Amino acid sequence: MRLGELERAVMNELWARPEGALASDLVSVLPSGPAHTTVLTILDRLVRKGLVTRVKEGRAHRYSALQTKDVHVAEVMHEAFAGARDRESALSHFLDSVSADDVAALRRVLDALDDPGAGAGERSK
Amino acid sequence: MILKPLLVAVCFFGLAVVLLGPVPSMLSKAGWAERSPRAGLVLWQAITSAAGLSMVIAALALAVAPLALTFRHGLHVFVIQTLEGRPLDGLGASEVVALIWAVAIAGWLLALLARTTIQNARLRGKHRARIDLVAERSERYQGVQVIDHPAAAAYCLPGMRARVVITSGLIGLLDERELVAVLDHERAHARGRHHLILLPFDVLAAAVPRLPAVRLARQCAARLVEMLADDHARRRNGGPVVALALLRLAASRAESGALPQGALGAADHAVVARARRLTEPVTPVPAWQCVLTYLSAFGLVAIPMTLLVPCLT
Repeated sequence: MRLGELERAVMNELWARPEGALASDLVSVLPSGPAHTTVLTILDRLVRKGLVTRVKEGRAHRYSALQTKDVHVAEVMHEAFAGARDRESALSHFLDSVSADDVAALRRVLDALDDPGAGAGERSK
Repeated sequence: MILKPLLVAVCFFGLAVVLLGPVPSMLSKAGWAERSPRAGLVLWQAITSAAGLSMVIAALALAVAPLALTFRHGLHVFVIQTLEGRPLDGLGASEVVALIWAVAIAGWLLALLARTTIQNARLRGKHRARIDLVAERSERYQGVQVIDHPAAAAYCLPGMRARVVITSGLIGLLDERELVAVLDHERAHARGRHHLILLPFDVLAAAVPRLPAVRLARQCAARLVEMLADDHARRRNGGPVVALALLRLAASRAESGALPQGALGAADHAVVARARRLTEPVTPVPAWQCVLTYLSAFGLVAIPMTLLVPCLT
């Protein structure tokens, strides 16, 4: 498993455990069955990236995600769609911005299609 | 051919004015570009590059005017005396001003090219790291990452390690065929390195943001790039399917308002033009007309270059 994949798997486990987890907890649940030291390395990287925080618990550390997954998703969506002017060109969207008039005009274009069997009016969603 | 420096300056300044004035507005209205977006894009690129080059040449020609009778010879003398460490020999005050202009324009454009490239790479890298953290890799669609979010969206994060990203909302909104069409469209952006096609327009827009022709060029180029990707999706899925995907996505976006509105602000109605084009029969521009377009594009850039390059060697 690639490093990035493992980081993602660890984050997913931590997101699912708001109370946090010990490295040994994660070793047993991660699908790829990584070594204990590997998990510690990954957790260390995540701490350094500012994604995970840890508190001492006995001789081990209890790790927990700093932010929920929802917050991360919201940030991704915000970055992708509320881009400042300078990042207009950083991503390319299938559809950028659209007005109600555009939608009406699009409907007219598709209604004019000779072949409604293409699906225009058939499916109801 | 004797090219008097002053004549060169006037000609190229005139060329730059024409290329940044009437030409973009004419090309933006030309219907053929949307029928052959590739040829259209090449011509747009040639026009913007030639405009930049012409400004530099015009200023250079004024600067080297007193050094020789012809522009090429003057430039040659200037290069030699610069190499010898006395670049300003024989130049009066106004020539020095022109020289500063030439260097400033060229330097400014190059600096902005570097800045835009680095800025975009950084934004993309940051965004890619975030995506890789929260998006699941789709098992069904190769190389696609899915974000669990109700708003329907699809986009391509271009670059060396390009990503095609869709939301779970999009999977719920579109049927299988439409979804495949959207993915083909986005993959076309990634594989075609369309972000590099648009780079010069971004640079020029950063250099002279207030010039209407520059904004127009960028807008038209962005639109043609979308059409290029649409054509790719159309060849595999049929035009109506791509158009239908556009409609469904547009309708859901207009209804939900779940996404923050982009800084693009006013929609430029490209989406309607795209849909109309996708539902009409394909009518590519005749081959001879394409060849003519490529030749003029080549000439626009090559002619100023041939004036510059031999003098530098």
